[in-house]
Amino acid sequence: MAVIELDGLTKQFGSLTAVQGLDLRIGNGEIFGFLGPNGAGKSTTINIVLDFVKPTSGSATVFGMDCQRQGTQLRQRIGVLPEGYDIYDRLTGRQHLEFAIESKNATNDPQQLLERVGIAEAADRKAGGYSKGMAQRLTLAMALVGDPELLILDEPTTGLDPNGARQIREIIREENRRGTTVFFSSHILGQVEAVCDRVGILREGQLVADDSIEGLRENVPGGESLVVEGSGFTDSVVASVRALAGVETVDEREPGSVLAISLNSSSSKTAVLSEIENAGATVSDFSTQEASLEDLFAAYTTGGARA
Amino acid sequence: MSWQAIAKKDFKDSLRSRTLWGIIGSFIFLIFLLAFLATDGDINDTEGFVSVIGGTFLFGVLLFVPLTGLFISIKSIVRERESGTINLLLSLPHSRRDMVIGKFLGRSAVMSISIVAGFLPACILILVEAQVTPLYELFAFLVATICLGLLFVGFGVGFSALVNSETQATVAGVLLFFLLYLWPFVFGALDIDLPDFLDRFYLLTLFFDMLAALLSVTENIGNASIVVRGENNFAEGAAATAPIHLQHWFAFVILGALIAVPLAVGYIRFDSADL
Repeated sequence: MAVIELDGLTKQFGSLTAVQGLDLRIGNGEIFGFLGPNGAGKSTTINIVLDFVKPTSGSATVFGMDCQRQGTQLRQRIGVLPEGYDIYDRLTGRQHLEFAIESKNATNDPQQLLERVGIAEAADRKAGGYSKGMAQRLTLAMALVGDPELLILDEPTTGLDPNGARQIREIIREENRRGTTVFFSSHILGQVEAVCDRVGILREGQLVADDSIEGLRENVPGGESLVVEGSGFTDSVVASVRALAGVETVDEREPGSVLAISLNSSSSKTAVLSEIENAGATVSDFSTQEASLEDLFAAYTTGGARA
Repeated sequence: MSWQAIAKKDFKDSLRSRTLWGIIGSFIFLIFLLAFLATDGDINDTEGFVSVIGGTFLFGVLLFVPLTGLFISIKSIVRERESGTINLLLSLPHSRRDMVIGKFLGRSAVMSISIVAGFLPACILILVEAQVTPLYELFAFLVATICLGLLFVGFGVGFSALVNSETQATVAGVLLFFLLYLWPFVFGALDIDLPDFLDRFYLLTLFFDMLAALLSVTENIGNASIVVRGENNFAEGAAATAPIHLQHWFAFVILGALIAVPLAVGYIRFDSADL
């Protein structure tokens, strides 16, 4: 059974369409990374699931329960790190957790949760004095109250240093091992790549990709490139390489001596290398390069790539 | 029952406001000063006691209660919306109705404590100075004042749910502060004579009727509202009976409606809003 199910979800704010006909299913036990540049509609989608925002049309369900009508019931079973939140300045970290525990009728120990997110020493300080990173950790601790079956984390690593981001990813993995489904959004592919089973990329309110990271690589031109060094790479050599099956683009990095050839999954590197030599050039060295995650992300969010 | 958690959290949070304690502190001083001036003379019977208490409380009722009541409530919801703390609150299994109810109850508790704190030193002074100790009368004054306080909290929380920004909330608070006391004068200036029943909605009338209803437990006071009886008959045993909607205790029903309607209107708007 799908844990989260979005059907034709659309949200318009006046004349602006933030989310357009979004269909998405997140299965039980998955770690799903919800990606997209800022303003793509990620938070609007999450806010509809949390019933902060009412959809214009379409439906959103969690555990088969309607997000608009059974919100309190379903929120009993999930943990949330929302976007654009603020903590209560005048309450201590411990009081925040006590509030979450009482709200969910849970039995967690506040101290233990604060230790888990690494801010135990600040438990009895007013949260108004917390740094952005500490506030983020406190909110994550609140999300873990009641051992939720689903974690919804909206940009969980913003405001954290690399070490903090790594700790968050560890907590996500730990929770997932316990059987928790995780849905988290980010505008940085690198943040989700390390933990996600599956990623969805949202662009201008529409889902342009829904696949594993490997799957995304295969579908993007320039998913892998072959860099060949040597001599005698004349125009006719370049033209014959371009004509080969599976070659997407050929970039002359150093005219005559270095070529970067982007290949799709159906190509053969050996065929490319022998073609270059048959055409009369000399190959002295070659290497393969995977497209950087940034290139991949850019291909989906600004270019025309779709999966 | 999740409003309990919200009320509790809210109570802890707002009692830590320094501004609130600043307001309470300055009123403790002013009310005490007033009580000090009012007790200048012998207070040797209940009637004299009640008039001293009345004089002292009137100032508090006209200024302290509306100011504090609106201060603690008018931004209670909209500030959470503007700052984003509402995202934490509504990520938990609370509905927006729980939030409105919890806010109203939490802030009502804060209001009650503020009133008790604000009047306590003055009450002690009066009790020390007086030769009589009509504790029930004192208690009746406090209860009627707290009830009026809850009315302001109801209006404040209701409007806080209704408006879209803290600026709008401030404007609403200032308007409510003046309108809730001044509206009968507007009708008076226009020479419009309102029916007795509508006159009962005036806050001072409401206050005196609640007080009369509470005092009638121990004293022989007729059951009619002050709008029928007139202020001068306050302590006299008027035998005249009035129709139910013009009896003094009906003030509590009116109070309930005046609290429930703004809360309900605010809630309906808030429930359908995008945060």
